[in-house]
Amino acid sequence: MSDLRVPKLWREIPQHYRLEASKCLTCGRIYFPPKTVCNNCKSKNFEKTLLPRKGVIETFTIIRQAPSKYELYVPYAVAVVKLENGVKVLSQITDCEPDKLQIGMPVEAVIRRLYDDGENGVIHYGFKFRPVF
Amino acid sequence: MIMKPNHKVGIVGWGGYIPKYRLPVENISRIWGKDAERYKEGLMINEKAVAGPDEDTATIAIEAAQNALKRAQIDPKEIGAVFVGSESKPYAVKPTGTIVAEAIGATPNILAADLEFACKAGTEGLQCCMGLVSSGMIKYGLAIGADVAQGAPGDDLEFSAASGGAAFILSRDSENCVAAIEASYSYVTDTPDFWRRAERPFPQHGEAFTGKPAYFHHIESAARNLMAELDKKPSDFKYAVFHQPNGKFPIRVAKTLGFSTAQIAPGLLVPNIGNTYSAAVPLGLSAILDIASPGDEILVVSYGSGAGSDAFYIVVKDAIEEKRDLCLKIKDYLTRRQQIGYKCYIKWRRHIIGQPK
Amino acid sequence: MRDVAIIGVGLTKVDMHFDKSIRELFKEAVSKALDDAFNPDIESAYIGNMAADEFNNQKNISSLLIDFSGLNNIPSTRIETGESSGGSALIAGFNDVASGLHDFVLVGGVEKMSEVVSSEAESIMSLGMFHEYETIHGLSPEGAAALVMRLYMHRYNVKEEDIALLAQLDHKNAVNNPYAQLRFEVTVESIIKARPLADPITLMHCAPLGDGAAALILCPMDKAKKITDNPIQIAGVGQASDTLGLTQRDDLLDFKAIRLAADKAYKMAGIEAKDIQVAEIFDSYTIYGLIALEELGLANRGEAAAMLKNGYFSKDGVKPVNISGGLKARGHPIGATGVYQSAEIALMLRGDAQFKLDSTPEIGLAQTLSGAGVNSTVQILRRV
Ligand SMILES: [Zn+2]
Repeated sequence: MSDLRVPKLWREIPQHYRLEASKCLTCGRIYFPPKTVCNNCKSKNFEKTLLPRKGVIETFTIIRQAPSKYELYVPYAVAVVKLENGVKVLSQITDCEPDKLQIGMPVEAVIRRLYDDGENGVIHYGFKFRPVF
Repeated sequence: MIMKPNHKVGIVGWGGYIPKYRLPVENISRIWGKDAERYKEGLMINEKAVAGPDEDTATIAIEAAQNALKRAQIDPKEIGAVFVGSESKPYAVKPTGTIVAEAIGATPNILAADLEFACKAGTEGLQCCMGLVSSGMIKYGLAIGADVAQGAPGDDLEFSAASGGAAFILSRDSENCVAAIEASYSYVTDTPDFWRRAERPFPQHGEAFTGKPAYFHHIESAARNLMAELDKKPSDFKYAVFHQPNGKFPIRVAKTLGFSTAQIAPGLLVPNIGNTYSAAVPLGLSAILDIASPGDEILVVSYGSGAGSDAFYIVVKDAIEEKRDLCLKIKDYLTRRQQIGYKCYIKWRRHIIGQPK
Repeated sequence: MRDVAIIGVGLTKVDMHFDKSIRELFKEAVSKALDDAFNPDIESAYIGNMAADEFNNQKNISSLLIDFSGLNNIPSTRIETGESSGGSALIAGFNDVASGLHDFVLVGGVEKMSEVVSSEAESIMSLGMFHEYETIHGLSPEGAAALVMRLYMHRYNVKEEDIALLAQLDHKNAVNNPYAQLRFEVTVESIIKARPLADPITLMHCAPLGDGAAALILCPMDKAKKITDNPIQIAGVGQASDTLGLTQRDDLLDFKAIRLAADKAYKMAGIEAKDIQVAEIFDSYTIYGLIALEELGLANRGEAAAMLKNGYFSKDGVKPVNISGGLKARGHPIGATGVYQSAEIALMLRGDAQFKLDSTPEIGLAQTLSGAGVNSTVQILRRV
């Protein structure tokens, strides 16, 4: 049996591939993942917006005991990335040397395999960030 | 037969991608008790580029396409077709092109197709796009060659099979074009020099048979016929790029055809990244465009086992100067290098028996 | 609204109970609580449990557990708010009695984790995070805590060894708690040098996996006074939620849910933080415990570690914290933990021999937390 709920992740492709967020047209707040009611001003007027693809590491961890299906990548880094517009996203930091990561390090978005549901299952792709070079 | 579009066609954006990781020949030969120097001399390969554990042909194609888009400076929604040429599709059944198109924001009003012809599927995408844009059926076409090439553990191919990708966005010729693709020529026969049967993980090859009747015959035929049709001679070209399964073959074929080392050097990436299969010639062409000047003429000849060659005559245009620096260049990716060991390599490629897939 | 009292407490030892089913474990806690309350007729039940579906392949556990506890046909409801489920169950029971709907209400909590191997438990615990935006990135619960811990250390210039002091305090206190899972002392060095799980978090910064069940009997205060000499009043309760995703908050270190839950509970009880004499805080990871001390108003921001260091929260200190051993050493049978905490505070206020303090406190606080500040409950108990 597959662990992956295919429609559940398929639905998130605009966010996972292209960092699509929603912006409140009344107060300007940006939500990722997108919301359709504003927690700040309660407005329901939203427009789609793309997040910037560059930011800095706000905090990070190196995962050394991974949930099953992520063991191939151990050790891997997961970080909170603060994007250029102030929006924060959680992401793996790929193509990095974990021991050299630092708070404040500039990173940029790339598309990678996020989750591989076994050799018979679907491959789910999505953004990760890597150190800018 | 020579293929010349009715309306001239040009490249509006190009971009490549090479993974960060490098596996030196020594790290492979040591495991198998082979002589590293013999391989380094025989293949003229020092190390190969290896995709990270979260990379595959789709992710490589996406970054190459994103780079091409940065240079093309167009709305991705105006791209009417995407072709991904590869022999290492992430899925046997399910297109790679849709993943790429979705990631760059080109869906849903777009043709997407995956091409396979061993190492020349990438250049076939260029020809498909030439026809579609020249005829006016689409405004822009995206052609990508990308591979995470497989070589069986212990096989000679393991020393060369590498990962990389390059992408080109084509349109009808305009001031926005960095180069015009004046003509193309394809030459194919049924020659089984290298193959991979359905549902098998690794390709087989005919060793020396991959040379004279296969690689050399097809590349030489396509190149000579194209030059003859266009009344061109090797000295007319500033650069040439030939398929590069190793370092020796392209050097030898260049010599046979009358090209100098200087003409092929900028596009000869194989010594430092290995054979990137469908991406080999597209990456070589990308590296050349990274440094070419307006007016430079380029001969491009791919080779795909099975077998065939696609040749192209390309002339660089003025717009190249202002677009060159809009994204990372091939040399940036060559410089970003992290050496890995064999154990890491087989773990990432999921070759360890019992390893969770 | 009626005043609500706790008149019965039942605890099981937190452990890997391989020989007991979830039914048997729960029944043991319920029987003890009923005996403690002189066996009243229970009219309804609320049971905190996070993940019986995954750990035990069982839904509908509210009916199963009540039936096997010998309580026939009463309304029984499972309450799930992640790791804070036990606290939420207590608030549901409180509401039931306070509203006048029922007089004698059972509040239970149970989690039976030892059915699965640790990697499976890891995956189950990961379900508590935002699946499409956190779990999918390979984040683990301890990874989330590590993100918070690194930022905390960076912002407040606090060292890992000072954060580890809370785990050391927990272990020291657990030695005297017969219900605790890990009844041994540890050194700070052994905590920071333990196996790394998600830098900077080591195994010893985390609560262990274990099984446990806890139960409380609630009734209106006027009835309680006729039944027992030492009823404990639930003087205030509060609960607040926050974004499931860590990154959707303006500040990762702002555990607003704890602060808001505490504000409500303090207001209801008519007290302030300074009036709290003893507390059980929710340190599923040491860093969450430090943040809880600060959000509850028991420590200033960034100063919890320094106060731990000078003994303020020790058993013989100004405000003893986690006399039970806390989540680190009493253990953390998830959905039961919140019930354990309130039960332990109730025993401390009663002056129970098993949780004896130098001077018996009058007011105590228990606080739960789900994930990295996703949901929190605060319960304030008072001796009357
Ligand atoms: Zn708004």
